[in-house]
Amino acid sequence: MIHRNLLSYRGARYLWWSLGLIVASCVLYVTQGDSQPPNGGTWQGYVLGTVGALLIVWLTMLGVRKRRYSSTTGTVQGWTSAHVYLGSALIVIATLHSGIQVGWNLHTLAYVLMCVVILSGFFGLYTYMSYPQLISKNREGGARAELFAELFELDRNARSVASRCAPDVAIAVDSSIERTTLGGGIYSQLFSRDGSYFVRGEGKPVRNTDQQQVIDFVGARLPRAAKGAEAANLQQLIVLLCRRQAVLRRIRRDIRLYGWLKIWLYFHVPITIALLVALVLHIIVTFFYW
Amino acid sequence: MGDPVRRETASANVAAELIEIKRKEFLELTRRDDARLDPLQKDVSRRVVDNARMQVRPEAGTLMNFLMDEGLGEATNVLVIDEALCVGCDNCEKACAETHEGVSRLDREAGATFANIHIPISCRHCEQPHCMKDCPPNALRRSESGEVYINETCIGCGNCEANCPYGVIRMVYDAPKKPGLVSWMIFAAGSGPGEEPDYKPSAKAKDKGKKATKCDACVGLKGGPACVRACPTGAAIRIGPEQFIDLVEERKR
Repeated sequence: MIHRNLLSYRGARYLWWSLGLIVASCVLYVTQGDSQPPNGGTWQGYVLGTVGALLIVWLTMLGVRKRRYSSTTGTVQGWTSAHVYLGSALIVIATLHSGIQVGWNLHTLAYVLMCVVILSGFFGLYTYMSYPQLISKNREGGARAELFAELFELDRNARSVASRCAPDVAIAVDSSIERTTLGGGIYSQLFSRDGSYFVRGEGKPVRNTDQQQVIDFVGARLPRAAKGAEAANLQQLIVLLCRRQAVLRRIRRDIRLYGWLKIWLYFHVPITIALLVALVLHIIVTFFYW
Repeated sequence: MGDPVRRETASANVAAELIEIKRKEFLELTRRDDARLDPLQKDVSRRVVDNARMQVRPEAGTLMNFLMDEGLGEATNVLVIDEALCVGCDNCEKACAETHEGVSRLDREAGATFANIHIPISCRHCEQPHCMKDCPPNALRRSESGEVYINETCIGCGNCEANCPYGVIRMVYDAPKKPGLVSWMIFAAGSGPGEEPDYKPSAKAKDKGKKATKCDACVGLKGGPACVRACPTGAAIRIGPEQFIDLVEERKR
């Protein structure tokens, strides 16, 4: 195969490593017997804890390996594939290590932070596996810059046609273009919030979400068109505004998809740092139990 | 050698030398040295199979046409990105810059796309490099392993940039040194991995002048092309034309 995704990398070899690790962990857990409740303090618990801690440190090293560009220690794709599979196994290893003894304490905090990191990683994996295809389809094979070039061309044409129409139509179209909003803060990007406005005649700006109000405004002017030429201009304007609406929808969708593709790492990495701190403290504190 | 009646025509995509051997002379050649027969017959079998694979999937043909329209017929080593896998992290560009003194020779986003196959701006190491046509100091060379690279004798005349039909060569100043990775990670020092946007060249770099820079397929670097090694999702690969049929067939399965 020419292209392989990170899950099927090298025949999904890290899936088998991960499954082997999970099975070995379960066997080790079961050998704890019934003399006391399973916990991290038995020798099996310590082994599971050590494996878990080393795994957490190694998983964090992906951030370093991916930036060591001259390194020949595997490839970043291989490391990422291993990171995903072994990171998934970690949730089993850490749960077995804890013996599911939870409470309002530092140890459970470390466990919860680890779970949040892994769950955010699952979300990231979902976006990585499905969003690139959606983005490419939405862009129709081009780049975002091409969508903007198309939008600016439509803006120019719409202004030009609107300038030949009645003044209130020209004001409506010009203002709808100037007051179109795209992107914005994190929430606006991720949820395609549209804060667009337009000016209707002499009045205050009114909402123009998804450009529909300005299209309806121009459409409503059509029956009142005095001359044939005016009607032709209005009709041409409606087509341009509808095309503009379609391009804006694609740009917003592109911003939204790209935003979700990126945002999860802004949780995954900082919470990992918090996890590392909690993990170190957890390990130090357990020495007080000796 | 397959069906004696030939059912295909062939068109050259690039400048090619054609040697015509008549049937009688060909048979005489093989009679004198039948050791060459076996590899020739294997080649014929492969070509018949490849032709049939392409023939039964016209949509694979449109993708092949796209690759040829992009000039990849004359490439020997081309960077191909699968848009269904690419997450736009730009680690390939960063890897290129970081393994080449802070100046990237790859523009990931630029370039044409068709059916999720994206051809970024990166040297194709053409079979007959256009850039070599008029290089006064003969700075453009091909290594033993096939990579076309620019050596330190470049005088910055810009002929190669003008001659390259694919826009893969840039005339750039040397980039200034940046703080290291650890300084960036802990103290946010510098712009981080990758080419520093709009970098200000030092006085020494300005004295040296702009020199031609392009992808050299990481010739001499252990592990091969850094862009491929740095891609976390497997989207970026480097292939030669002999793999194009596998590429288009896999896309259109």
